[in-house]
Amino acid sequence: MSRLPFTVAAGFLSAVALLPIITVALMVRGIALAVSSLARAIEPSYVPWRDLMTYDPVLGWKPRPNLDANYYADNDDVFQLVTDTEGWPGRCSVEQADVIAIGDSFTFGYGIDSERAFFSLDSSIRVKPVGAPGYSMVHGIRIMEQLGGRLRGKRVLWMVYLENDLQDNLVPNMRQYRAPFLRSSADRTSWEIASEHISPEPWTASQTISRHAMLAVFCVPGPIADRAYSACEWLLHRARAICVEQDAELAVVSVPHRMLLSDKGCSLLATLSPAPEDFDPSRPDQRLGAVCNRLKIPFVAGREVFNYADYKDREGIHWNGRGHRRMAALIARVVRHPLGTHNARMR
Amino acid sequence: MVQVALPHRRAYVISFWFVLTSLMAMGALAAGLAAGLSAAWVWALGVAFLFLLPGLFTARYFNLGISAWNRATSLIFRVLRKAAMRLCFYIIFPLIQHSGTSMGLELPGSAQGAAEKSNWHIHNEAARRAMKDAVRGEAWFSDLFRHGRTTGNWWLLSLVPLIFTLTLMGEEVQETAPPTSTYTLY
Repeated sequence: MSRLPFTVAAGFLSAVALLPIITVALMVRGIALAVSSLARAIEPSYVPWRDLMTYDPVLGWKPRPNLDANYYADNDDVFQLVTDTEGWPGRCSVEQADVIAIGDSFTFGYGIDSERAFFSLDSSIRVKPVGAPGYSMVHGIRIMEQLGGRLRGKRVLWMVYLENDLQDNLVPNMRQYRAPFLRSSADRTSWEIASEHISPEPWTASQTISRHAMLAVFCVPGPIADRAYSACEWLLHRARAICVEQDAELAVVSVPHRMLLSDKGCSLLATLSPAPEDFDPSRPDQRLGAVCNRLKIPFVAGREVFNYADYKDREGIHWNGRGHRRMAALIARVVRHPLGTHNARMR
Repeated sequence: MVQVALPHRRAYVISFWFVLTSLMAMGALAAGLAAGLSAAWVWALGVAFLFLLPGLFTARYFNLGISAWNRATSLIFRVLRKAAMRLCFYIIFPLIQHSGTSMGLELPGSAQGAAEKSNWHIHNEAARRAMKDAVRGEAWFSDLFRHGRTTGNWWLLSLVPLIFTLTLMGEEVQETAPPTSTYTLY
């Protein structure tokens, strides 16, 4: 029996039978192609994130100076970044600023155009963000030391992100970047900043630590949490000394992870913690607040300020426009009504 | 091939609503003209305005549009993929089975089997790889054609419409499925 007629008949019949499916699929593909083509035409071209950073012998990494570029934020969108002659976001200089905001990617305005970030929203208050993604509190101290006399008479707002800052204070790297970190002093009675390992070479020696798991650990009592908060106390003490020396007013605001702001997130974190029955989402704020109280540093608990809706839905880490507006409003209140040395409720 | 699922980036949101609104307006214009309306373009503009109206009250509407598109296209493609496979099973395979096979089935007791020739075949790695890659690569048609020609299995060409259809709809990612490299005995 010849095989050809069956092959031809099967091919023809299947083509006819599949025609409606092919038509619908082509229509869907056509719309997707039109949307993608138009999007590529109107979306600004962007540079890889690593091209925005440069090696810094003190901090490990730092944004490049005089940038006016677009970058793609992971799982998010393309955003514009403007940096000054020193590499810090925004066009205003440290000297021109009323408030110096020190911190990590939140301070940097990661995931939002520089012009829409908290430091650009209130033209009556000049806010200078000095920070970069991945910075810990140890970077904050190094920055304060570097700025030195330039802090004189200014308000210094230290933004501490509760997800990773507490653990990153104690680790020598942020992914491939080498970072200054805290280690116990030789006599084990205090802390010291280690930075002799900082070089342009990528760091390859550490395993990645689950940030959520560590945040959960910091929400229950235990030796790991005690060690982390002890390091924070040393850093806050050092920051206060620098600011007192420069006659600058230091205040600390904690930036909570979004999980700490929802019941579902807290439940999940509790299951990750070593003692779910002792889990308390406000513990990081309580511990930091207690340290600040002892050191007479005004402290704003982020859980009292920010809502779950202030964070990006899909990206899930950083503030959205609403979060940045809330931060701008917080700074305005801090400037117009200086906080006392007690912990402040801001909601 | 362009991804059907669209990201929630601003440029894509704007483009999505521009394309969709344009299509709706053109559809309304065509319908208006077909109905003999004198001011069909007004209807087209009205439809476009109504389409975008909720976005004036909440910007989330525009993002929801992308989410709805992604869910809808995923669902549509899943249904279409299933339909294509069923068509293949009920229409193509019953026909193809009559085309026979190029493999000599020298069964014991048959005239050919009397020769007691071994049915073991030399493993043809190149042909196996070509078959494996046939539906994956961009040049799947030429790969399939070459494979059909070298092995004598011309019936493979009857699968061209089906493979084209499946290629149009892309692969369905099953996150719960074990890796393809996993060897199982079930």
